Amino acid sequence: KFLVIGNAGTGKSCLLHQFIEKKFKDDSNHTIGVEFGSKIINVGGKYVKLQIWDTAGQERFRSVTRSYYRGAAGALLVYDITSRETYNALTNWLTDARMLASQNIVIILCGNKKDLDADREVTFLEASRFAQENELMFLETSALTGENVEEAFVQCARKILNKIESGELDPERMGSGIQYGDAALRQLRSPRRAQAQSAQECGC
Amino acid sequence: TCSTSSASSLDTSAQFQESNGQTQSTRWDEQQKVFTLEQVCGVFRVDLGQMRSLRLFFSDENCTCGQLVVASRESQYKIFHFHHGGLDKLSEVFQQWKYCTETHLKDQQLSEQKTCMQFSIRRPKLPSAETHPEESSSRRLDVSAWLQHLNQAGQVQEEYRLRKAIFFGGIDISIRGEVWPFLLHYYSYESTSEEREALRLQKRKEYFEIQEKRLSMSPDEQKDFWRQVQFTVDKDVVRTDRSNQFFRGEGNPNVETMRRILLNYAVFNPAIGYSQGMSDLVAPLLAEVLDESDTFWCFVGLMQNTIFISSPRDEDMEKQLLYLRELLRLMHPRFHQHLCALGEDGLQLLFCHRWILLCFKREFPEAEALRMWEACWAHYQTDYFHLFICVAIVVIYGDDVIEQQLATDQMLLHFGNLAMHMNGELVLRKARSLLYQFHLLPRIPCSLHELCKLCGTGMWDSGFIPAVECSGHHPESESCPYGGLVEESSPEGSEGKRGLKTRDVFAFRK
Repeated sequence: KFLVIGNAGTGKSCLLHQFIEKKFKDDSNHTIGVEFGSKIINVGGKYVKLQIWDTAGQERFRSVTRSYYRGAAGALLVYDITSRETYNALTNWLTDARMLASQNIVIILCGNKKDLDADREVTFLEASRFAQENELMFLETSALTGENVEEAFVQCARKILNKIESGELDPERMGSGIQYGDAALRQLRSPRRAQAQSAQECGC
Repeated sequence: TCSTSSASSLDTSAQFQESNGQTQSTRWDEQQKVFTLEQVCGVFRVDLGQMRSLRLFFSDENCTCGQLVVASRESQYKIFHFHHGGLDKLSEVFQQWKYCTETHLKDQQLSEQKTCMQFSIRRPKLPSAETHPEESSSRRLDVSAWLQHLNQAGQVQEEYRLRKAIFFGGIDISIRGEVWPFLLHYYSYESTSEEREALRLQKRKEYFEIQEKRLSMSPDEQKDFWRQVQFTVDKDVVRTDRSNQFFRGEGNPNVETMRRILLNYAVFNPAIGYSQGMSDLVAPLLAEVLDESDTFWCFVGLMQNTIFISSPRDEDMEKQLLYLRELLRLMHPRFHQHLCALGEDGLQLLFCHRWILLCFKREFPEAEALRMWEACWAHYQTDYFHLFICVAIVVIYGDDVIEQQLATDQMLLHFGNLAMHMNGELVLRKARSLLYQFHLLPRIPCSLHELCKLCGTGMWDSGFIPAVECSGHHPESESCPYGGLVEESSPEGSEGKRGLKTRDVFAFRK
């Protein structure tokens, strides 16, 4: 289970759309309530299904927020490089994610709208430092051109897999946000491969 | 294999970041190729044996037009629209095909491993027993019908009759801008044309005073206002209804008007300020009412008098969801049971938050959504008609959820994918019939006794006042006027078992 969080208008839904459809959604309207997308990606030979929850940038209902964060394994924390305001809000988002999801949630910081470099208000260096201090991975992305979008999701997923392999994360723990592939999912792939892989496969 | 158009041969080399294992990559390659093909030339190709269901939804009475919907096991949907007939022929073909034996709800077993694809045909007709008996009593309110409702002085003669007509028939697009201000309590029904003109002038003055207040803020106030309101408003207005002719194009002045209305509203009502979704509500008002000040006051009325308002407050939403859960428990117990089985996350009803916040604006094409708005604003027999619409959607389109025991996220995906693909007319008709059935209930649970409180009794001396009984669902140890104290332990499973006190109430007009 993945989340996309960050202020209104930073391009959360567009990142998700670019990742899933490989297209920029230029008639996109602001998200109301919760939207949902999923995609299967290949990470180091393992098939991983990301279930990505996308929500409104303006938070409203605490009860919703709880359901939304519950059991998330990874998150994209998004700001807009052309808006300092969205960058300043990162600390709050981070606190919420770690408190409401889990301390172990793997977060990648995404400075979106990389294509609008002329209007930049937040430098790469400044955001890198912030990421380092808060133990986040960091990438600058562009939902418009697609640059680094897939990478952001893949890097986050890879980190989660590494943590599982090193024993830092236990997928069997309740609310880990990770599930091993189920029967229905395996049927989508060739039976031979599914059999060979089933032992190490993660289809969360 | 089902292929909708012939593909030109395309040499696609799928690219992916991580492909260490050679064995998987061939399969991965193929999959990618299919996806790419699908994107480039609109080809859709799947192995039907691997699909979860194949469904035909007819949208017209003759059963010729509608949608063919293919669902994968992961709740991904492909929808083929048949706008100009032909779906009936396709259904014949499918029905003759042995593989597609039509499955019926009652025959289905809830097993994890389904070997055979489900096939079903849904026809739009509601059995006559399931429609509101007054269903065809009102035609759309057009200019001449509207004028008949007004007397010489321009007063609405029978408010209740007007609201009823709008509830069943809707308002013709040409007079929406004229009638909406009544439904939104900007104009009172008793006002004369002259009084309304005077009101408009006065309200216009007030509006510009509010605007003046906004423009004369101190720099500090301005900074705060920008951070709390303007920052988000600016981002939202440029992405609200831009495909609508009225707001289309770069630098469209109507977008700026919408922006001013929202900013001024936040000054007028600082407790509410701006919450995302308001722009979606104000845009159609502006497009119909046109005048900036009038639209502003209609919006004020909308925020005050309708109950599905885009309220930023937790308790407002909680109340809506509580009512909706109770309605589902009463009118669609199987679905309610499924939600209960999912636990807290299921009962949060995440999939219908947007329905309530935007009153179905993103679930149906505009023409149908606005019909729903009008039906809700009519406050006919209930103040919460939008919740009956929610139940109607679940009744008509929620079978999959129960049959396949969809989890919370899958449910979100299921209903998310249905957005803009549902039959609004059918949903409205079903919602009206659900309201009728609700009114036939001899007794209702105390949790729902506020559902029909403000809507007025019309020409009748008493409104809908059923017996109310305590359902035993109360937060904490709140006492209930209809049942008494609730035991502190086990809030669940207590309903219907206790000797419930019922209280018959008669209310008469003074």
